Amino acid sequence: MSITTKLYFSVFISFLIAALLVSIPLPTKLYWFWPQWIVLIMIFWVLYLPNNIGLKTAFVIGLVLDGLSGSMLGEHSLALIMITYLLLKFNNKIIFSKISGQSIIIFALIFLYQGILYWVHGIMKSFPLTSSYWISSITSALVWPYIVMLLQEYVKFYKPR
Amino acid sequence: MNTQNKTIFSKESFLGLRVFCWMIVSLVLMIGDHQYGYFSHLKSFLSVIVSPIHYSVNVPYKVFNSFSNYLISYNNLLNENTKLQTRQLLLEAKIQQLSSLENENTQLHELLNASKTIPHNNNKIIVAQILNINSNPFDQEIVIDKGQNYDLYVGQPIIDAHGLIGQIISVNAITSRAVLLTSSKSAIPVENGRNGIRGIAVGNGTTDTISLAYMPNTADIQIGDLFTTSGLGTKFPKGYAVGKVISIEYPVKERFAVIKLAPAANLNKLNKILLTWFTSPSNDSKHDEHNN
Repeated sequence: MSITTKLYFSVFISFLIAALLVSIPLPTKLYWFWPQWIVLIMIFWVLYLPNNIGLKTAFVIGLVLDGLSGSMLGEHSLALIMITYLLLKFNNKIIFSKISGQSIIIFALIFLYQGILYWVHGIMKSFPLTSSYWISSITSALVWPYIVMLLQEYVKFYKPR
Repeated sequence: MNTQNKTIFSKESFLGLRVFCWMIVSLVLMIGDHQYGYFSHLKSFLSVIVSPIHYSVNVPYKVFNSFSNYLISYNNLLNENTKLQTRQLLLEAKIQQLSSLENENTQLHELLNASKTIPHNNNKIIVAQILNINSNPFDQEIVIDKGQNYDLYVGQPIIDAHGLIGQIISVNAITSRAVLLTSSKSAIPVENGRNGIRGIAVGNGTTDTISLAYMPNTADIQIGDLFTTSGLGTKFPKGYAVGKVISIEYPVKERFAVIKLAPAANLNKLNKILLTWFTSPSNDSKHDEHNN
């Protein structure tokens, strides 16, 4: 196996684990605190492999998210493409900032992601009724440093020294 | 990065344009799916791809369950057995009473020359396992482990031991998706068990209450009244419990009373559900309301 196929395989595995984490049935109150695992993994790969993981992947992952949640086709794709655009545009600035700064950026990005979904659902007139909907952007930002640590080790495992 | 700069049309170029194109594609998907119901093949394909994830998430629960069953003691089993046997006896006694009541009811209906009778209990019923709950909190939905392989259909009512849970909204090859009656997408024709006042029970997005829509201020409704499905609308069979009235308010400015019901089904502890095959008087109404 060449290095790129290995890398793609590892990307696939990480997304699979994130999908499993997302679809664990949780009590409703805990659900709001559950980070947006797939979006976080997506952000990591776009930041660290911008030449391989980009808009196409964002689109496909968005479709898979639609399948997982049974929502309207394309809404998660739209939101993911928006944040992938920002990530590709400001890749260098984000990747060289401190991890705390990164967390704040991640918070803003996931807030934007949720905002787009909120807006799409608003057009369809099915708003979530509680404001706890927005909590997961905070928890996602808090989880981000650990995801970076974990996935960097994971990438080292696959990349040649 | 070096290879990037060599090519004239590198990946970095036209970023805005490419983003624009992909956004157009997803907008087309959204509008086509929501407004016109295209792309149903893509949707069912996606749900087939995703179903292994739903199944594998459920594996630890199943393993734990079978393991704890294995470790259960003999005494506990005996106790449970006797309990269940007495319960079964009680239920059978009740059923006897019910069947005599049913006979009496059909006789009375015949006397009244009414052509339609209450649907019988001999409808086919199967048990299904819930794979996933609330995967998207915008609309309260569950995923169950039966699909086209068991001839489920869109609009099929699902119940548990205590009452109505909701209805199937999409059927895939081996799984299907149902909307709970508490979802704001759901509306059920109901009637008051005490005096037969009819209404519509509409979900409001919270997990523990549903509301009665368009109920005039003067309607005779009291706290504790049990609302059951009325059988109007031909979607749900008549007589399944929907909810009990827990609060009534009469806002001065409004024309309608604000009435809240607590769902009869145990929606917070769903695990196994029952699917009924309700043969409605007009079977061709099956294909209405697919796209809501």
